[in-house]
Amino acid sequence: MIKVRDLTFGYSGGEVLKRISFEVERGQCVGLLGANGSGKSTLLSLLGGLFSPVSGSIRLQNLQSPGQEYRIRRQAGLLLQEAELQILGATAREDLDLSLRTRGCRDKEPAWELAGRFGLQGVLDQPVQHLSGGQKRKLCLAAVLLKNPDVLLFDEPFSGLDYPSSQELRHILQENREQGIAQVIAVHDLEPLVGIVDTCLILQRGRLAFAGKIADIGESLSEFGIRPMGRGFET
Amino acid sequence: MRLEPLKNKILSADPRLKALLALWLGIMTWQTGLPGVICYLAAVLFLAQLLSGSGENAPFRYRILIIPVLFWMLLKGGLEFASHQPLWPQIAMETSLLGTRLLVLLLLGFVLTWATSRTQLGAAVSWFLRPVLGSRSWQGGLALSLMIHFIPLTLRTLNQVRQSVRLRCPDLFFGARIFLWVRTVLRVLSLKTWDQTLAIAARNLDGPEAWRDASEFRKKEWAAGLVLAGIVFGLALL
Repeated sequence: MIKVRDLTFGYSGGEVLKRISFEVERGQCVGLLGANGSGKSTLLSLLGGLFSPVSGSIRLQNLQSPGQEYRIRRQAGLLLQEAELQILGATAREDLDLSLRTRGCRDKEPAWELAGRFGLQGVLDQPVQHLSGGQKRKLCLAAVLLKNPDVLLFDEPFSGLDYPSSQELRHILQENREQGIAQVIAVHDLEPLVGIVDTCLILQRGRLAFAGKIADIGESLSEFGIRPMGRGFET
Repeated sequence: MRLEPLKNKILSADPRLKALLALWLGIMTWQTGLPGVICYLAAVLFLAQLLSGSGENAPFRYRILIIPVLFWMLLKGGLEFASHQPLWPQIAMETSLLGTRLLVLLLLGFVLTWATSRTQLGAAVSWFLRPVLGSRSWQGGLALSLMIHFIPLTLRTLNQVRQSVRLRCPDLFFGARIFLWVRTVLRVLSLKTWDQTLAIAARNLDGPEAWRDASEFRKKEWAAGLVLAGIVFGLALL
């Protein structure tokens, strides 16, 4: 589904990602971990077709970057950290309608069904600024799912969410997985992903420092700037 | 008197018609004399009251309009005073006409954005621009939607940075505080603009599909719009 080969990317200030390679299969859920500034968001943007690699390649099903970023953007669903910027409709209903229009879809029923699945029916006609952080994120997710994406990319989906909203989001991620959608979830804390992700990729200063099962990471998480599981903060 | 049905009618009306009526009223405001402009002001004040009564617009602080209007009135008055033999009644008449016109235009802008959502307005603009820009007309629609989307974000940023500067640098002299404020606002807004660009691309709104106007052409609505345009013209003759 996703094949990344020797991916290198940089801004004018220098290289952000260096020779990264990995694969994600259909229905697989991958956790992308790393400290702040390790290159997680940049990697997600590349996978979502927002940027073009400097060298190396990304293959998303039959599409390839560099070259087909525009089509990749239409096939992959990318949820950025700041939900507010991704919502352009004045109400949740209008925002979902906008997503339907991007697909040229006249049947609005799938949108209202998704709103129902995410518990948004009651707030469909409310101004979007009256929605809570969790509702805004769910609205973004619903809007992205209306594209029927094969790949979903999440940038810090749990940040700023309270416990019930995090639980709901975990439930949605599980459902997506059962539906065969490949998911890459960038987080800086592994705990919310336990039980959901199959594989973890850890980025350290732009390099892929680890790729494997959560159980194999062991005690080395803190070496990568990530809080070890089940451990609080030192006092 | 229950005004909810009227409000709903205005909200659900064809965005292209609303944009055209606003344009017509704007042009007539600039062409007509004080009596006509006062009638227009009464009409837009009524619409502002009607449409700003709930949701994101409430409560609308009319006082934010006063400073720009007063600024231009004073400028106009000052220039008139400097360039002609000072005729006080004439200067007072002209400055108050300018002030009323500006008030009507500013309120009209607010009323239009309250009556029509940013995406509907974007789609309407894209429709208007199609004969001129052809297949690139959606870019105009997207640009307008983003502009409206950015107004509250910018206002919030201005306010947050102003508070931060005030809290962190209370002893800095006025000029330095203003410099710091402007520099920080520009930095934050340029970052937001970049993030917004990525968000638009990620949502696939950077293509013509999202900005195709889906409104149906409703004859009755357009006929009512024509009558309203006639009334606006009639008031201009007062």
